[in-house]
Amino acid sequence: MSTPQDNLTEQLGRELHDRGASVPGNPIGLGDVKRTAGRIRRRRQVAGGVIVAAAAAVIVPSVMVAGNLLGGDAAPEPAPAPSVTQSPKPAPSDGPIVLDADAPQGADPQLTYLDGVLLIDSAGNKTELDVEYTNITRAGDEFLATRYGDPVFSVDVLDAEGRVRDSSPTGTGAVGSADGTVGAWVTPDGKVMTRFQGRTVQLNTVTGGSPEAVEILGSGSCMEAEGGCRVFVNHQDGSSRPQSVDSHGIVDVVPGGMQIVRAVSPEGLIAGLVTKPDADPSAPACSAIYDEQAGKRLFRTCDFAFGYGAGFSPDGSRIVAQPQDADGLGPRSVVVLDSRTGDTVAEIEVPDANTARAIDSITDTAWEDAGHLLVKTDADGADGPSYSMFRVDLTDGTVERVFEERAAGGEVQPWRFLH
Amino acid sequence: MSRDGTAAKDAEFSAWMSARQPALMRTAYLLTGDHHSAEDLVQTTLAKVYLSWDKVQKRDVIDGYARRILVNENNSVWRRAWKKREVSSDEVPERQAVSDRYDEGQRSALWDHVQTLPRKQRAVIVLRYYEELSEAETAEVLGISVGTVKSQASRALATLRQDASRHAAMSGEEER
Repeated sequence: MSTPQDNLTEQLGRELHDRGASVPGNPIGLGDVKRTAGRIRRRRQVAGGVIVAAAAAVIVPSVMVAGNLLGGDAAPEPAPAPSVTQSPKPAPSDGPIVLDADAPQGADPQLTYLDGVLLIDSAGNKTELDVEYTNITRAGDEFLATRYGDPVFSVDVLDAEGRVRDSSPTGTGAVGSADGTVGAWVTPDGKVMTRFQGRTVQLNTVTGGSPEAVEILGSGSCMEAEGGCRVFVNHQDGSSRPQSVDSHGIVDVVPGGMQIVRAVSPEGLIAGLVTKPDADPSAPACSAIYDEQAGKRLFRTCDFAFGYGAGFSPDGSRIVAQPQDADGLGPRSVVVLDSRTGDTVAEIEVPDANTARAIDSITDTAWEDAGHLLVKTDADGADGPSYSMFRVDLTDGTVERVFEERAAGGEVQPWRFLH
Repeated sequence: MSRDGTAAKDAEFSAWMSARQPALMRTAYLLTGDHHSAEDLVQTTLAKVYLSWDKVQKRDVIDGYARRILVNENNSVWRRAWKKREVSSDEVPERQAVSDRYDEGQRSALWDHVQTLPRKQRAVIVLRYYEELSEAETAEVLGISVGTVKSQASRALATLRQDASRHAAMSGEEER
């Protein structure tokens, strides 16, 4: 005699098999697969390896020599400095820092962040905004807040009280300088816009599809006579290499062989993907840091990829990266690298999947200061994802809980850091 | 890799892809609920298998490897889609309406209910009752514990049973 449970599972099995049988068999060809593989590799989703990294360290210097001798434009390729290009060292021997859900409670974040419609500063002051923004950055006394619209994103300029003062279409979002005094975004048709001292100034227009402002260098003003600024732009569709636009209106290719820029420090260190998009799809996707002032590549890695959340530390000495093969549900660890040598300063990971209070992945990171990193995690429960926040003290490896696990209204992610 | 090596790899991969693609398409459809998303999902999965082809030493584990990529990529696609819409919208891709033609009645309602399950529960259901994997195998594919598989499956079945009862009750009311 069958039970109701048996009946349901049998019925379910039949239903799924009948549904599946209606699906066409072979709609995808090898050409489609290889094109997709190329895009994936370019996005650094390919598993790298120690063997490949070691090989790259040998090959790279000869490429550098060619680039230096033949490149006559204003965007020099990496200089021939084999002793500078290093293979990053593995994590410290004292092991990874685990984001323990039972860690002691710490203070609230010492930086500005969004939580739903609330903008909360480091002192805990809350400003209620009219809409829930996807990200936010500072531009002097104002904020540049990005919201999803149809068909494109929009940047709203908010005053200190959170009132909308201006609005502009954007391809992705806005970026702010390290000191929070100037901000920038790019319109879908390539206009590079800056905001400072309560005014909006266009620097120039970039060519190439799907432009994305990734970083702005400058302080106080983007006016040419007042020191100027420089905006770095990626083209997400791969139609053009990354470009930078400065207050002279000069549009230039980002140096260092960068294919995608992920972060730029105020000192001129550029971190990003260097493997070319037309490389063999089975080749590893590698990243590098290039010192623009010195005109040389500092190191290259095929084990880690940049751009996961925090980027360079406030003092520029460290950078957050993720394992290159992180996939699926997202990275279960991030690393902090020395930004000049690539050596692993710290590895931060979520607890083992079988622990009682499991965490699925790390969803974001942000620097509070040069020694403290905030790490946001998620866990996928039966009622949807829930989120937690931790503080990692990189000086001694200790961990604090900042915010307890929170479901946060179903699918809306809480605690979006000001980047 | 040499040109000959690439050609040999392509030929080997093509043969595997031709044999395996229909099954991946079916599973992808059950996970996503629509043909277009399923095709995108399988294309990405095949691309990732292609990228890793040289790294997989034992060809007999590729099917399981591809299945694991498929399921996890589905979660990843969901995550990326959600991130683009991480404003106040409650829309999530897994609840997209499906316009496929099929039979009416109880089994069609069951399919509708399957599509409203949270994505991990739905993955567990597809792996357990379509792929017919064991609880341990399902846990391995999803990277979760066996206990979590049990609890997710139990919750999903309870939800489906509840929805089916509600549907039957509503149908009865309409008939009256």
